[in-house]
Amino acid sequence: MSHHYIKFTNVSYTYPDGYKALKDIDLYIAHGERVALLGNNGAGKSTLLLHCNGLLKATSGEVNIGGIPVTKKTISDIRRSVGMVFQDPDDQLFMPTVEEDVAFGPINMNLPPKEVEERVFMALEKTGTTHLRTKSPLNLSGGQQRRVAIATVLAMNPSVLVMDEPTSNLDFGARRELINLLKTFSHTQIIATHDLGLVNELCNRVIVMNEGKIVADGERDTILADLNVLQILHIE
Amino acid sequence: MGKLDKVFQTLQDLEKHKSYRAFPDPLVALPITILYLCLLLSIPLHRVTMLIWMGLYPIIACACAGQTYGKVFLKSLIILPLCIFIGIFNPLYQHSVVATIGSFNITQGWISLISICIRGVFALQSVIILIESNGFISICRTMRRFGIPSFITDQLQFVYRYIMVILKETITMRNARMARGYGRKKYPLKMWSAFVGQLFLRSIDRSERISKAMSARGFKGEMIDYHTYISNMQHKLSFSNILYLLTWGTVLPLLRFTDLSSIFFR
Repeated sequence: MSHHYIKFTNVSYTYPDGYKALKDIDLYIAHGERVALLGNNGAGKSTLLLHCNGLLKATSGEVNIGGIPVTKKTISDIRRSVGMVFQDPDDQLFMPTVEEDVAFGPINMNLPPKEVEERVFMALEKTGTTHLRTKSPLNLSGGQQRRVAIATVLAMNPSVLVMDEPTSNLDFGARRELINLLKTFSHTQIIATHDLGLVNELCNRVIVMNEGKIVADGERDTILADLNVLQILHIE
Repeated sequence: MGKLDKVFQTLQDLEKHKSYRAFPDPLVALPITILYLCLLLSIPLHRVTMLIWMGLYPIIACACAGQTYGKVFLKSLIILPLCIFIGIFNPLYQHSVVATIGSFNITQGWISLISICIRGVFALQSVIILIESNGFISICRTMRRFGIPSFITDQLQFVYRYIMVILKETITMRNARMARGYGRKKYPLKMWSAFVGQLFLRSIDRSERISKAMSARGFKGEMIDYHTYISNMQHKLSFSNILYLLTWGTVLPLLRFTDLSSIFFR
């Protein structure tokens, strides 16, 4: 795994309907950091995550992953090193069976068949979903779907894991299992979430967003003790 | 369970127990089904007895695939209203009498209506047997092997995968409507147009998200089958499958081009 950092320099993004989702974002995340991205709905968290692997292109400013600027030419390299787990597993799991979904990324990377098989095995093993290998993603529980969604990304062997609300819609057991799983990963992790329990267990650094801007960035305990931040997040 | 829930369950069950070693192999079942459909639909409308002989295929194919013919038969009846709609006016325009049973004159129009119904039911039965024994996804992959362009087979796979997700959303929207309907059963057209419009917008939204998820994992425009990829494109047919192919490949044209009724009931 190469040492990838994530750097946003003056990044702004405006949706086609004119909505300014990101406003002059400056951000640096070092290799191996676990960062929580907090903010109300519509604060710009998901938009920011979509910039990390070039799914959205900044209207102005630059996104840089490990020294490589995110451009059309570099996009395939960027997507190899930044794995994105979407909020709704139904969006991420589109193949007929779990193993085919996990193999989708490695096959697109043109890896030799033997390596594809090994990566599928490794990703399923790491996420504890080997027994689901031949099942249809449709027939899985929410927790299992979430684990498989992570496996699909792990199979690409990324350096950075970007996750959009990974614990949403999960019951207590599935949530606990997922947090324990994420603890075992040494990847750089950026997690957009509303789950403060997850933040407390996983992330040392917290970034708070409001109306497309970063309003607080720092150590978890300091940020979550700040009354202004709590007011922005509507935490009582 | 409502009708929508039943459809959802049926679709879900369809792929649940599929294995990659179904009999007959899709590589055999698909061409045989296409051959059967071509021969069945080429029979002239007035040759009802010949059509009935073609009914042997769905019965035997069901037994070979381990399916119950009764269930397949009941499912295939769903096509009857469409067949009747197509042929309903034939008895009115074709008056020439071809047979008489007691005091009843059977006209050519009635024969052609019955013929349309029989071929509709048999055709649907053959397709049901094909899909139920191999699974829709497997059929799509076989189509790809036969050279059908990937953009068609991929689209079919996606439609099949996401029809269930859209159905789920439809069920949720229906429940939300029922929860606030206070027992009301009829709604004006305006409400239905809003319902369908909403569903359409949700579908577009979802397809955009899926497209992003695919791009994030390096999708370049063609879905490559995992099993074909790792087994290096090799797929050998078993002896029983070859025998099945040769048998039906011979029997079906015989059923179509020889008048078996005149041989057996001379």
